Amino acid sequence: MNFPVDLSVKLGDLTLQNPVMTASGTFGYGQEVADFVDLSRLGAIVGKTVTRAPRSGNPAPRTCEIAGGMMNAIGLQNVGIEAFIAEKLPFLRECGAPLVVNIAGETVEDFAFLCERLNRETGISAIELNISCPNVSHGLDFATDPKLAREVVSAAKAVSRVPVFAKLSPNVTDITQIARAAQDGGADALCVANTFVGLSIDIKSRKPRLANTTGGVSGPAIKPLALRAVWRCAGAVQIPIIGIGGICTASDAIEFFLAGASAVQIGTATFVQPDAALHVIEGIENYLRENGENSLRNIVGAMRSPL
Amino acid sequence: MTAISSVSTAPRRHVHARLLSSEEVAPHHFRFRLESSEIAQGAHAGQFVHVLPAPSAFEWGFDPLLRRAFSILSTDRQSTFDVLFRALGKGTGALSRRRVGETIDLLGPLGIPFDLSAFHVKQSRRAILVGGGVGVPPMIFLAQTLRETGIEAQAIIGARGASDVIGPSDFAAMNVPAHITTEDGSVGTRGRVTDVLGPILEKQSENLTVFTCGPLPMLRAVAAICEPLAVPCQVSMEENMPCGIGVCNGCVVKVKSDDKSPYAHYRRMCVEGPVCEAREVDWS
Repeated sequence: MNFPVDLSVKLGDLTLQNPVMTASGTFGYGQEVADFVDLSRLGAIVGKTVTRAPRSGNPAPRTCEIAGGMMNAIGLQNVGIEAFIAEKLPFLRECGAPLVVNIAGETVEDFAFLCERLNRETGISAIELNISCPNVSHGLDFATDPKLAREVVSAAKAVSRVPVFAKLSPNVTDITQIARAAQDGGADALCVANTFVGLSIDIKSRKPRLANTTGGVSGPAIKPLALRAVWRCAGAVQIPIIGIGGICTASDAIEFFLAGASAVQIGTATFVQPDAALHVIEGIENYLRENGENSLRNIVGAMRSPL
Repeated sequence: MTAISSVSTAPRRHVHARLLSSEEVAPHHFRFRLESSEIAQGAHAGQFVHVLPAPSAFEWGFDPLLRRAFSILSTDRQSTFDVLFRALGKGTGALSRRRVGETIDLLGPLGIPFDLSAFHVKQSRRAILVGGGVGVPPMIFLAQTLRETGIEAQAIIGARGASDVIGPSDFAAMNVPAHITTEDGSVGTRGRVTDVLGPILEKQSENLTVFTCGPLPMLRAVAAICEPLAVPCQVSMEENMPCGIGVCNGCVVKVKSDDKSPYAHYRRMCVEGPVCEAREVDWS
């Protein structure tokens, strides 16, 4: 069987050639990975979070490995918006993959400022609002309060000339409330979700294994948790969902599509296998073909009832 | 900004290197000889490879998850290179059980190597290589390189006890004198590497460079001896390293900086290290 398979996905006004993006903070600004990955084959690159001013990040150790995953508390280390535009954007603009710029701020005004600043630049396909970083103060706030979530999304939408995604936190009582609030604010898509806050202790020293004490858990360990969050959000909103959380293989990604995600992001897997996203794209295409599906859209939300 | 970051290096590659030999050289310490002409010909002393313990991430379900960074111990400059690691946990344990003939999935050569072109090294007539525990392997590669460039070298090897001593035969084969120290005194001088390094530098601290790799307290102590004597010292730092290629910002070491940008205070050891000038590191 060799029939064409449509992997394209539409997120607001943005159409991607395939549904596989790299998750923010796991792919640098593309250039770091270009030795290992044909970037033009990616659905999109989501860059590391950019803030208004440069940030030095948290003290080390910033990462540790755990059973089935890892933890990090990087603390949004980045060069700031102006250096990003001057030093990172030129490469990203030319690398052949659509660029999603991930931004974070401490106030609604910061987010609006960053969107406005990015409006003046070419080569940006979408903006992802990081309202859910667990490792900085003023990080999670926007994603834990529906009112604030709605406010920050609508402020970004009011100025941005490209589609706006909201990246939600799983560290909330009911993620569907925040999902609805972000939809009401005008988000073009929701990224579900970010890392789960965790703690790991070295019993020899009795100290936390991260200098920040707590950190975000990522990797295969969180996949079922993220998958459930995607499934619940898919039942609560009409806008597309981008599934994120422990996706390493095409099978993982397909679970997210069946649960209702329209696209996915690959994060921690890239640390292990720099070209993991390309393997996932290939595997999705093979799965669709083997199952007689001519379009990815056919399997979005196609999970069957257990009985 | 630094001399070291100006060293030119071979392209980084994702290779599948055949395991030619595996030897348990000391309890839980394994030395692998691997076949890869890209690494063997491209690597410089101080660089490392990022090794997947499993034959394939996909076949093993990404478990154990992350790669392990090992300094390169030596290369034949043609087709093979050696690494040495201690099998401690799940990842290195799985790796130690890999069989000769299998392929090992690795990224390399990675990182900034020791800088031998720097002005002070050219002025130096001698190099002192201080290695502790599994920090000895890059010192062996460095001794090999120094011999090729005609710089006189001596080594100081630190270990807990006789069974952890790495490298005496490698240094002997290159005619590099190696002074062994063990904490329990079971072989060599009882004490630490600094007990040997201190008196050497007090006697003669001019026209030499110190290179070191090992546990953080040892590096800090070596740097503390070199600094007041104005002895140039290059350290190879270690920090938990998830990606190895510069994307995760996990493996940072705090460095001193005149630069007002807060971004410059943390340096990624996988791409802006692991070798640093000791005076640049914030040891506090």
